[in-house]
Amino acid sequence: MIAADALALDAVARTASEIEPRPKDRLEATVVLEALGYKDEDARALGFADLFELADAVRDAARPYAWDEPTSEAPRRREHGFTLYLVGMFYNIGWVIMLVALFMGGQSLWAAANMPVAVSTAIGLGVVLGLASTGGVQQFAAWKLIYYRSQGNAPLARFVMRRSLLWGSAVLVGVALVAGALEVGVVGLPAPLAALSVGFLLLIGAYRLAMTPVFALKKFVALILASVLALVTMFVAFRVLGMAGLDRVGAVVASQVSGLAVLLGTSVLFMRSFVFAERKEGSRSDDPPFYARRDLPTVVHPPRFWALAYDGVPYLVYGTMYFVFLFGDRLVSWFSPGLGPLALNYNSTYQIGVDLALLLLVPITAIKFPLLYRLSEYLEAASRASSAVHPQSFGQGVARFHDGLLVRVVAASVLSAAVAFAFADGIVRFAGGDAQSVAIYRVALVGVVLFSIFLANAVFAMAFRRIRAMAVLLVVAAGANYLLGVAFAQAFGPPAVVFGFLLTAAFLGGASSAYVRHLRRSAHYAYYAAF
Amino acid sequence: MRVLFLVSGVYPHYMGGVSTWADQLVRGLPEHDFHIVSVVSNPHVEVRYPLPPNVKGLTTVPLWGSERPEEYLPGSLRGTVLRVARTAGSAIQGGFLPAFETFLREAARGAPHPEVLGEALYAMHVFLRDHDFQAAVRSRALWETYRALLSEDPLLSNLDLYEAVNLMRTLARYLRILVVRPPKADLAHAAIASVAGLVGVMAHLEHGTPNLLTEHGIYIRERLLDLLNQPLSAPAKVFWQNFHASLARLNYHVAERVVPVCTFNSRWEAHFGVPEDKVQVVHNGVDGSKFRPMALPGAGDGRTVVAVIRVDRLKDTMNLIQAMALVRAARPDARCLVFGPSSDAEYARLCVRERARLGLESSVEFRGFTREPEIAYNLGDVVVMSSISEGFPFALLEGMASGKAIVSTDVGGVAEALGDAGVLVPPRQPKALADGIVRLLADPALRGELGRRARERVLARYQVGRFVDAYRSVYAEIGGAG
Repeated sequence: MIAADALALDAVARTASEIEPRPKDRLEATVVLEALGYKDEDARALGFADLFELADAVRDAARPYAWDEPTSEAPRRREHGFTLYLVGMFYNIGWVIMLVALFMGGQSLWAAANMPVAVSTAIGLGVVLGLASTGGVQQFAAWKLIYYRSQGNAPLARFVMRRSLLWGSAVLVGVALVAGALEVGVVGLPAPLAALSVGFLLLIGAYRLAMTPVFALKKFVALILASVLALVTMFVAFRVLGMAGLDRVGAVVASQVSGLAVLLGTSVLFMRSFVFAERKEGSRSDDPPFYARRDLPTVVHPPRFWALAYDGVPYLVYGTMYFVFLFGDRLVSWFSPGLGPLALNYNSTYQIGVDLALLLLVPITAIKFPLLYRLSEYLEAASRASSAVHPQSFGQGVARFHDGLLVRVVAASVLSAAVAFAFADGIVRFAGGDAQSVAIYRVALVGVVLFSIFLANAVFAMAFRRIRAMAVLLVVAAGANYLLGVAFAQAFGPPAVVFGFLLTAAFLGGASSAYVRHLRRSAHYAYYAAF
Repeated sequence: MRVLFLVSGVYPHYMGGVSTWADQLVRGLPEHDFHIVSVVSNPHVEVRYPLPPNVKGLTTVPLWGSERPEEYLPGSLRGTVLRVARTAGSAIQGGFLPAFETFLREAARGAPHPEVLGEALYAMHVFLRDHDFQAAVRSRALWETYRALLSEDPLLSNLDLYEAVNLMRTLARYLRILVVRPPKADLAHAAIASVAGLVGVMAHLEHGTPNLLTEHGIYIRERLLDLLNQPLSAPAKVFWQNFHASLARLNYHVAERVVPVCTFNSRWEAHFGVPEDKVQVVHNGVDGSKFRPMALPGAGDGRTVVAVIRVDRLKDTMNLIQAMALVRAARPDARCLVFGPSSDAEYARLCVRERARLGLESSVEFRGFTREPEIAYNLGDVVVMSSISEGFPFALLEGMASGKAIVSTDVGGVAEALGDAGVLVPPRQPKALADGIVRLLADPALRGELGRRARERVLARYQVGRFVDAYRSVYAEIGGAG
């Protein structure tokens, strides 16, 4: 090449490097040259056969000019850990209020105090069945809502919500009909109380379905608002009805129904706002009018629902069995020995002890929230810092993260349990329990500590989309809880049922820890397969 | 003749130049039955073109937007349950991984042996008839095989885990096409040398169906341009370059005839080893009776430039805006009407900001998508194109057929189409583009002469009937029927 040509090639290379600092091969270099307007004739003028050959020379000559522009990434808004903890507490406040409202809606505390057993049984059955029959559909709907919302696919999110409401309602009505018939025919409840039970079942089930978007999309403010409104309504209704001369049973039932109705109503409004309200997705005020985002769907071609449902089975099982497990021992404690296998009678002594222990989950959730909130962010950062071929550092990071999570959860739960254990007598008696309730409470506290380990592991595993394993564990635990509860009740009387809960919670904590340890061993694969 | 027509991101779901071409072809050959396989990014697309009666089937293949292919592709619950049950680790190990490994080796190197790549993909396709796609691509065995191959490659072994995961997940999206079972046909005609063409490759290996490939833009070239702007590491970028090159090479290998829309494109095909006798250029055509000179009220004021282009990086709209600032310095009354949408929000905002920065709000109008392009061209005195990459653009042919003087960047097949009937300027040079526009705005006689020549050229060479007849002959020759 003569000197003038070399200079010309140099100039071409310098220009090309402005578009691509390091052309990877001759094809990429050719594309760059074509985009700059170079043609075969230009290549021939420089002594090359065609542009592809010139591209080779440019690629070599461009290296001295190569420069690497730092990848500019939009700064991410990072929440401070303490802020996240507060968010976790807020999340819990909403949860606590909701829990208290549900307790007032029939589980324990108020309903247990000075209420006829038959009424408490009716309400209790309604609540348990309402939660268990919709837990699975809620989990399924939440999974798909999050998936479609992450794609900006609002129409399909609406479709899934509609279908979930449809199927959930069908399940709810079916369960209500069967439950009503069984309560009258087998349990022996009078028809009006069976109707009351079915009413609670429908109210709570409908509320759980309607609040799916609030939970799935983590709308904390909405959760708190709905719960506070419900609680205020319940208290005000109870006072007003009492002052109006209604008897205590009527006032409790009416106030609980009105509180649940408010929960349902506000959840429906929030669902409409978060899912069904028409809004232009992803648009900005400075979007030019000729901008028509191509990747945002405006129409829905619904997927085959069986295909969704097939993949959704683990979600359905997990959501359902979560409540079946949680209420298994309590239902067993309602059995009345000698009166037949389904002669259920609400056991307020047992109920108060176990329900109060469950409140321990509040500080535990607040502790794990700031950690789990950032898990996906952490996984991305750790995977970027790790080699694909030698991903040991990623595995170690995931293990450290999980260890940290467990240590915090166990520390928080043991500490809280210790305090609760020390003040058990006062706490339980304040809620209307007796000495037996205190003993049940203390055992259940240990069970909740163990159960919290399962919950931490379950959320961690679900970040890797390993819900199937967690669902299987819950199925086993729910069955064991029931069988062990029956065995303990028969051997030592109804209060001993709590040992069934304790043992199965220990199983859940242990088995889920073993599973996550197994997952950690090939964390890179788990990370890959979570799509 | 039964034609398996393979398209990607165009007809009948999206509007645009290639879609126009496909619509013209399908309607122009009513004697043939078409089964269209349309690869789209997500399942929520609408059919935008009324399908003529000779379209006997449409299979839409969304690569993204669903988790299980059966959500949108044919399947049954029973079939899925059985397939999942069959897809145990040992089945994947024995029936899928050897082919996957071969596929990956070939893809990572740009398919030096396209026939080996084709066989590997076909083996995977056969496996997936009876086995579950999700279970196979999410299997631990596949992941470990993939990692083992990465470790053997001096460049790919540098991938970080995040990129490696995303790369394999994206690859799994592309591989979804292997779930599609090609119907029996006399001819498979792919309109792009990409994943859509793999359906034709499968049909070839399954039924011996002959393949025909039309290239508008050059697929690999456009992917390379696209990759220039992707925030990927060098190993990931190289992998995708080679992957797309391997798809192109396989499509070229299987095709009995490669039909570029312009001679310019055939240079790339030749570079990929397509023998000269396998290449036949068939230029696009337009309807000269629809696109014709029209006297519109308010038009023909001697100061209006029209561009019927998408507002995006390939069309280099920024170049046009900057050129208009220079044009306005010479012709303060000049204005530019841009007809076309944008699907790139960031670039669209950049263009609007650049227009404001240059004080051109009143003289450069973005009018968005138009359903009446024949009117749009006739609103201008000069039709302009500012692209950095083109095949054989319809917008150019339509402007020419409308009798307009053209100023265009000299890219792709533009020079071939325009001949001496317009002004060619280098790409990415606003000054050169502005000079061309000013020259034509200043010289009505030259405009008239170039416009006349442009229309004559289109009527003589680039009419719809001509291109349809050319395909009729190619179909008969390759598909074996008249």
